[in-house]
Amino acid sequence: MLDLTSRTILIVDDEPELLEIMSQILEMRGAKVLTAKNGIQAFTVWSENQQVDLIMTDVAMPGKDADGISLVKKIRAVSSGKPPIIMITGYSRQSEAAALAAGAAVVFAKPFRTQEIESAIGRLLEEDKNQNKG
Amino acid sequence: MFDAFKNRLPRTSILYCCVGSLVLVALVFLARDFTYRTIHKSERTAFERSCSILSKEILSYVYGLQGMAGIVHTHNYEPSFSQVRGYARNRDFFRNFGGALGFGFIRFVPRGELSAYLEKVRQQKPDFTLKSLSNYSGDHFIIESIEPSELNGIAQGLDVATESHRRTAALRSRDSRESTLTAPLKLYQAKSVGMGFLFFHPIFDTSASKARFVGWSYAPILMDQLMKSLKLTADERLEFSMTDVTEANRPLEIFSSDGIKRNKVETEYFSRLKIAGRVWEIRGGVANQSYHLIIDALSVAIFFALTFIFGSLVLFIEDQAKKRNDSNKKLGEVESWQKAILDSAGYSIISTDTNGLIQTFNLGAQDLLGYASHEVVGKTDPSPFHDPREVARRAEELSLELGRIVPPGFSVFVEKAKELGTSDTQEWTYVRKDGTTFPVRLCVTAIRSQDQQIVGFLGIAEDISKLKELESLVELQRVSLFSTAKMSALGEMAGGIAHEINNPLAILDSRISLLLLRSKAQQIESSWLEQELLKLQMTIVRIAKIISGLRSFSREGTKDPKTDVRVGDIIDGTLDLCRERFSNHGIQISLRGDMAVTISCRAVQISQVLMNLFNNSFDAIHDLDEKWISIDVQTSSNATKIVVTDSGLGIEEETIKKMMEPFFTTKELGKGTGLGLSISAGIMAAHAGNLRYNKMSSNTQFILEFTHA
Repeated sequence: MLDLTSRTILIVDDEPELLEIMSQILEMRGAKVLTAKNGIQAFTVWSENQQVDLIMTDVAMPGKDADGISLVKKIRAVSSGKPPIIMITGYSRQSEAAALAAGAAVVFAKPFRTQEIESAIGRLLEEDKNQNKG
Repeated sequence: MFDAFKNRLPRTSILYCCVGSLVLVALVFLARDFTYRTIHKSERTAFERSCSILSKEILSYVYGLQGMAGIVHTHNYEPSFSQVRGYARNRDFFRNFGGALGFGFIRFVPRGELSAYLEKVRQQKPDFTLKSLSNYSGDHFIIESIEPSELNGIAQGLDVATESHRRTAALRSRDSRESTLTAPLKLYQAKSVGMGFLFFHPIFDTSASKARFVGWSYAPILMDQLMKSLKLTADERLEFSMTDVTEANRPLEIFSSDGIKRNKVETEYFSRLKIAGRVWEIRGGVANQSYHLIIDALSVAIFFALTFIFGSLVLFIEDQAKKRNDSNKKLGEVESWQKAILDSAGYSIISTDTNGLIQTFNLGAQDLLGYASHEVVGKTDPSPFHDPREVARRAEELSLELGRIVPPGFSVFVEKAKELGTSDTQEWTYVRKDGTTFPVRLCVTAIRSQDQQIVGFLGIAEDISKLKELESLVELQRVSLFSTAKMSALGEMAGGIAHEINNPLAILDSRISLLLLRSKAQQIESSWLEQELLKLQMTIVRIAKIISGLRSFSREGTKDPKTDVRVGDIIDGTLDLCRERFSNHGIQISLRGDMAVTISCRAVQISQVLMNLFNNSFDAIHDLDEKWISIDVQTSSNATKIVVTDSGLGIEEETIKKMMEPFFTTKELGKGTGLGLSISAGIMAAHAGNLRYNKMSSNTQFILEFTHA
């Protein structure tokens, strides 16, 4: 059973319904959830909350430089390893590759299974914890 | 003409000419002969009349002689010279007896009484001299007096017995007591003038019981003068010759006219005249028979004239025959050509008379319809080759069109052609003999004579089944191209549409995960659950809507009936298929205007037009910094417009010119079909509207305009 107690996760999506559901799920697991509806807002949130343990972002979002790839690039420019970023895309493998190249840890293509995302979050946070220990 | 002879006259004509010429020659000769015979007959008549006149003239002298004898009688057989002269004058001698030189009295003086006689005479006329023509020593026949003495004086005193002809005739006259002519002789008083004769009339003294021979009254007749005195008419004025043939072995010529002498009489007629003891043979005819020349010349002329006429006739007939032959030949050639054309054509060519009875039925028709020519020509009209239901339908259509009843039958095929004056082309269904059918394009022409009377009809039919197949193939290809273009438009959004569905699917999955999570934690309240389930249902409805929009879009929409549809519904339905895609690319969609307005249209097609425009906009702007598409519905009293504007900055001039053409595209290979705008324009035209690019707008703007009916 995934336990996200004391973990802070930032979710970025232009689809408010999805944002809301994912928030509830992760909160049920004990996480502290921050949300942003686009890349620009998300970068601001991440900048102000350095304790964010993981970012989960959509790739395609409206607005100039508001997309997921831009967000990842900007974060990675500042912080190369952390936090791990999960990207979710409704598009082809090309955008998956672009996301990975930009610095995403895992890319999920819609439609995704929520369980798989939860597993990925757990695994990434575990790795992160081990690294910190190490 | 001669060229014609040389070049065109065939052997038969030469034969005709030869035979004809022979017949002509014979005819001309017969005519000539007939003419001659007629002429000869009239000549003979004239000749015979002349002979008769001559004979009468000579016999009329008998009266003169009798008169003279009367004088002798009256004066007791001793007439004085003056008495004789008086008689001659009284008788108006020259008028009545033109041929005679005079009348005289010859005294019979027996041998031995000469001296006494001479003495007696010389008492009255002292210079009376006896003259003799030979030394004859018989009785004396002495010319005692002869009047007029001026002409004949020299003969007075001549003893005519001294010459045998005169003596013989005189004696015969005495013995026969008849007027008697001498044989022809030279008159004593006119020796140099020509032949003549003496005419004796015996005088007897009958006062005594026994008649005593006294002598003769006589007349010397000069032939030339006699002939001149004959009162002959012009056509009786023939050439004559007279020969005394009393002694058959010693013919003596009396008279011969100049013409006879010069041998100018071609046709002579003969007559024997017994006159006063002599037998004369008279020959006569027409001299200088110039009519021979005339007749012969005429004959020749007529011959040539007839030959010419005959020849011309033969030529003319020949020419006509040749022309007829030529024209027959030409006609034959034309017919051959026509037949060749008729037969070689892959068309069915059928001609009919005005009532529709088939006159010709070419090979093409036989091949196409399966009837043999002899089965239909002159036996039926073209109705058996037609579908009766189609004919009935056309009859109704034609009746409506022409405004009068056209009964189903032959008139249905030709009425329009008659009306038009030119040919009428329609598509028909032909029925073969075996009952199978095929489509034809039938061109019917009314055939008119020179005076514009319709003399028949010509129907040329082309089997268009192959054409029809091709047409349907083309139609099929066109439709498939149409649908390809549409599916391509859809395909362009394939990713987008996947996203449209994937997103709600992700929502469904995550919401269910949440429910499971709450359930395990036993944190589910019924009101909350109800809300969650409703949300799930809404998401499913969203998916269903996208699926149904997709299905309706991909459906063939060209044959849908037009319906009144809200413009907003069409725009929403279209955007449902691409909303996520635009949002994923940061493209903002804005709607303005009255979305509730309705237009009569085939919604699927209008949706296709919008989709094309949205796709173009997407391609044009997704890389730009400013990305938006605005859709504005403008409505006025006569039109409804859907104005689609995107953040692009307009289209290049070159592209504007060509963008409505099919297969023109600026998109990279494999991305666009080049058909979007051309098909869209076609769809708008089919909706009594139009699709146009607005150059005046600072941003790229297309306007769909629907004019209200």
